[in-house]
Amino acid sequence: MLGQITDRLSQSAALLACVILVCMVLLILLEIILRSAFSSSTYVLDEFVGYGVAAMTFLSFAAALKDGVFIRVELVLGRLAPAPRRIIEVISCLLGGGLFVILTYHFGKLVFRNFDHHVVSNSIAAIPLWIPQSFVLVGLVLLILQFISLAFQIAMGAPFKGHDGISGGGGHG
Amino acid sequence: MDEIGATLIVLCLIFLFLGSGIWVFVGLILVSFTVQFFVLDFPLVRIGSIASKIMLRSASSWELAAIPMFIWMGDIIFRTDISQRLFNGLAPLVARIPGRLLHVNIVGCTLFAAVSGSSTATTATVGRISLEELSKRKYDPLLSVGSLAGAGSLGLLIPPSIVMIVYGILAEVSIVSLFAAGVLPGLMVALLYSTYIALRAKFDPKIAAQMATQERLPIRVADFLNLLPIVILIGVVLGAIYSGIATPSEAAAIGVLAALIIAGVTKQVTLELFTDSLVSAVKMSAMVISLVIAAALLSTTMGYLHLPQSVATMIGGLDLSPYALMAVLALFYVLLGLFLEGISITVMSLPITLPLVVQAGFDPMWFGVFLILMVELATITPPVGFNLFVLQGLTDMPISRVAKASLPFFLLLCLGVVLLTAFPQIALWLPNLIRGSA
Repeated sequence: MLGQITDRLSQSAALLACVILVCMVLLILLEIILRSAFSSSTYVLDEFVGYGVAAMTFLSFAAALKDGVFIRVELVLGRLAPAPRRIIEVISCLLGGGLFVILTYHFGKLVFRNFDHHVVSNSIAAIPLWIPQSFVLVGLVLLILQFISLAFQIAMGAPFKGHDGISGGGGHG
Repeated sequence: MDEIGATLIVLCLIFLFLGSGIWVFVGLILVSFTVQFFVLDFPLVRIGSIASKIMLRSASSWELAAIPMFIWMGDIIFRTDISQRLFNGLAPLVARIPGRLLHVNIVGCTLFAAVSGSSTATTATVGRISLEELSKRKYDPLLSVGSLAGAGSLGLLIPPSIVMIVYGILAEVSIVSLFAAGVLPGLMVALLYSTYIALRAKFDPKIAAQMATQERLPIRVADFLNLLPIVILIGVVLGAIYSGIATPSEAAAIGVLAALIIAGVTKQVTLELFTDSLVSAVKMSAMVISLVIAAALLSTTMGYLHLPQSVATMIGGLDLSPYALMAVLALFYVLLGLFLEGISITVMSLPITLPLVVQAGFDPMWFGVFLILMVELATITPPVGFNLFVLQGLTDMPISRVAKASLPFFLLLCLGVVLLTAFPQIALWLPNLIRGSA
């Protein structure tokens, strides 16, 4: 149940990340057209694309974790008997979750401070910083949920998932 | 804390965490946290607040935007009929060289590498069609698989390259120059591979006998038209960068548009292709950027420990000659490459190795190319080598046999590293030329 909701949310966040990527491509193309044809500029390209990359990345984290896209060294893990492997994988999930609870707590404080103090970006657009940062925050919270849900699933005996980083047009080495 | 102790602690922690099979980016962040908490005695509040700021800053970068866009572009092309086109277009052409269709692997990978930033995508794209066609024609399986493993790794060296973008950001080297620096070494490695295949075809009687039975395909213009999409895409992306119209991120956006137009003109754009490539691209780039974030954190932590300076002093005290230093580093990278993939290797080692190399008088741009060759080696060394995994999947050969097939190409790549070190101009000539004319 929790797993299903988390998966659905992760998937939706990944779709939002897709929309953000499309917007980044469009914004860059717009900038190129403005610059070459009208000697003008959007004046916000670097700033907005920077927000976009961060938002896109964090919103995709939960889905990437769920689908086993993150790289891991499975050399030892793959050779363990199922029982000890299950224990280690659950500990990994809990460590990951715990780590991101600390990060999310501090990042959340930062976002709320920026919201309270109306901190805006140091640029012509003067964007309130909490807006792009809340996408990151949402991604972080979903990642924690996904860690917990994964820990539950593995503890309850779900099959292990290797990473499928080798299929598709992957970007890693 | 003495430096040897600190270095050992960090190394042990990295081995412990990564060896446990935890996700690499989580492992590297855990190493940072553990060191800051136990070794540096930072309070948890300080660790968390430093980390959350570094995390945001390292992920909000204009340069990073090139990563998701190049991945997306490659993914769109990957999902079209490019594999078949590469084979049909190249087969008649290379059938005239000794070694014949085996060169499809080399030339095909070299071309696809110029629209893709990843070695696994390059290997999978070319291998999807060529392996079957080669085995239908009774080519030596070891040579087919090995040449593909070796040539597929060129995806990292020939621009655009995701690892290169990561290196450029971390080492603060111009990505445009790095891309240019990868071109000639990439072609050199391809030439080494092709020469080896030709020599084997001429002088290995078993393989020569297989070749003799091959029919000669006629050259027709229609075959070359198959190569048009990929050539146009290469021209658009590299043209945009080197004519000075676009930065790498902008060229990547243009590349996405061009890839969609090409897929559209050849009537292959479907909603499915669009969304599937997009979803896969955001997840893959999240993985890559997660490593960039973890690297930023690890590098800060190592900085607090003064680890880079300590190691540099320590190595400096050994009085190694620059070549001896590079030999030690090469060995170190080959060892890392046995167990890790390229971006992890790059982000983990760079805070330590880059200052060393610069101190020894090497150009950071040159070192980028050197490092990427080392990472290419890592993709074809067992037990963990992603190109080997791809080929295992494509051929059902056991990993040991794929590794055996790749061994000659591993050695050729090592020869490439030696040549690059002896003649750094192979990497530096083109970027200097471009900078000079700009």
